[in-house]
Amino acid sequence: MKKLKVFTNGLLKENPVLVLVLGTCPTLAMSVSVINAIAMGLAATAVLTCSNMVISLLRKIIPDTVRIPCYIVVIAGFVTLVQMLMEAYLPDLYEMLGVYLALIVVNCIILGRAEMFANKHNVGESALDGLGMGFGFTLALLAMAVIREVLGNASFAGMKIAFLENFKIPILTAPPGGFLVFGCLIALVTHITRGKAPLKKSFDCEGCPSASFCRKDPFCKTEETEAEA
Amino acid sequence: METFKLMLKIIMTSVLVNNYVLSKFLGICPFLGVSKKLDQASGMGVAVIFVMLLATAVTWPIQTYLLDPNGMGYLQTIVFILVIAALVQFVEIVLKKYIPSLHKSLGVYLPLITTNCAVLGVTINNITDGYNFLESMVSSLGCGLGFLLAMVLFAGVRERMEESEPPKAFRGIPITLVAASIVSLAFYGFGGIVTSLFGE
Amino acid sequence: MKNDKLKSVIVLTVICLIVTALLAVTNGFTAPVIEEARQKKVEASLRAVLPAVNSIREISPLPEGTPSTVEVVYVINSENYAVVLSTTSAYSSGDMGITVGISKDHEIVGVKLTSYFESKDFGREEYPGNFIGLGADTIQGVDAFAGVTYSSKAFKAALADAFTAIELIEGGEAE
Repeated sequence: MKKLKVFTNGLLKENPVLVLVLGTCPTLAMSVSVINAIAMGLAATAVLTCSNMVISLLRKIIPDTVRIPCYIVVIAGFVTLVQMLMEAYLPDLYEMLGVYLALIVVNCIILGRAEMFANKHNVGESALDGLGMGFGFTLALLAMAVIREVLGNASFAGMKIAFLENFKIPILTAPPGGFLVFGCLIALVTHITRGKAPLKKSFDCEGCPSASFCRKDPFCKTEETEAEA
Repeated sequence: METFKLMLKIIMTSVLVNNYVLSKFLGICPFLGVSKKLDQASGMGVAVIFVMLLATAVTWPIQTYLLDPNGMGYLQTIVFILVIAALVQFVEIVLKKYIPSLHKSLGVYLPLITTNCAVLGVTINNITDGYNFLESMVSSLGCGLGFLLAMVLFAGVRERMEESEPPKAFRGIPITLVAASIVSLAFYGFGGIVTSLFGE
Repeated sequence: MKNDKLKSVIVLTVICLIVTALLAVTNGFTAPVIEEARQKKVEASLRAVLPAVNSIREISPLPEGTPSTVEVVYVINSENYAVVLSTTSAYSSGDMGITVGISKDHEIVGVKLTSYFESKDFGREEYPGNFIGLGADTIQGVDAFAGVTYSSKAFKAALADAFTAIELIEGGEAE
């Protein structure tokens, strides 16, 4: 039962995109079409689950001082693995994802889960957490992509929707549409949950998974001290 | 003259048309996180330009002279991220020791840049676009300038935004994103400007 | 203290080495598949512009003075040419990729736009079709595609470059 909770946590209650507001870059860039979104989501899920498992396995071996470089190496390794497999067996998708596939390395969801979850839990839980968070990411991407592709391009996963053909809003598939749809979606989540979600209230250092190792962060501190003063 | 024109074209393209933040969505975190005040926004922008140039100056030769000739191009992602991370650390130590004044103004932004996808993105894009060394450096400069421009412009927008009172559900993150959407829309209008300026 | 540092360095190095080794193994499996897929793609694009493709020979290196738009030149069945071109003039939003098949009599047999990023549909089929059967001198006579003047110009210039490259190659081989 507890295990199931670890898995479902990432799907809705702590959805990495809509509640924790992480991984903004790929969410905005890869939600132009449904197929892109699913491919990106699954690629990230694979990397997240594998890296979570390996990092959890190695958590007793990796010294604290070099843990971040170690995590980055492990994550980059899995990203490269996914890149090579995709280029070999799914070349069309590989081309569609382009540079964003390599950029999974710096997706803060993955480093964040390594730092916040995998190095404190056992392998099984870490794998479930990775799957849950990954599917949560995919789900959020999919929601964005459905809105953008259906309204912006009058199609769903490449199939034309005839009755919308004359009512396309092409700007939704362009970059400004990405920001707009994402903004509205988060506003919707806020409205539905009566302000309980998203957990992150603004784009500051608090709530950023990197904050813990961003070296006591002098930058964040200046903000705090300013607030105190 | 021809080279100069090409360089100018690369810069204009990466600043206005293919702006990393507003049209490629790279470096969104610092763009939305550090743009509350103008001085922080510009500091972050300058630090990003600096790291982008440095990272390109190191990663381009590594890819061209080390990885490609040995058939190890597939190690690109892993090598680049490690090199960038190490580089940022190194620069911080050097700045702290030898140029403390610069460290005071730029140093605080450096740790934030390690996992910035714009920096990794620009180094990878330079390779995939087949740029030579000079072109790569120019393109990095352009991307960095584009980032700085977006940051500074958005800082201005946000100052106004903070005073406004959006509907309850939109407060905080959503309204920031909607504002970013409008700034991005403005940049969307630049499509085609490069050809009009420079001809074919 | 010193021991800890040493341990950190060793662990990091070992992890790096293991990851690299695993990637090298995977690369051994996937590299041939990727190469094969690439080869197939090239062949398919060449088939689209030339009727019968039996043998393919890539000209490498390209002779000095070859225009920069020319990426690869293939000799097909040891008499016809296929030239892969890439030009950036198309409104800067991306490269325009063209594959053109040229017969031994220097006439265009087939043209295909392989990548093109403009929103306006540059007559993917019709416009390139206008050039079939023309030679180096006659392609300039084709009108630009309405509303897409810049791209049309770039397209024409790229085709002219293909002829230049072929002449250079033939000049070089005759010597």
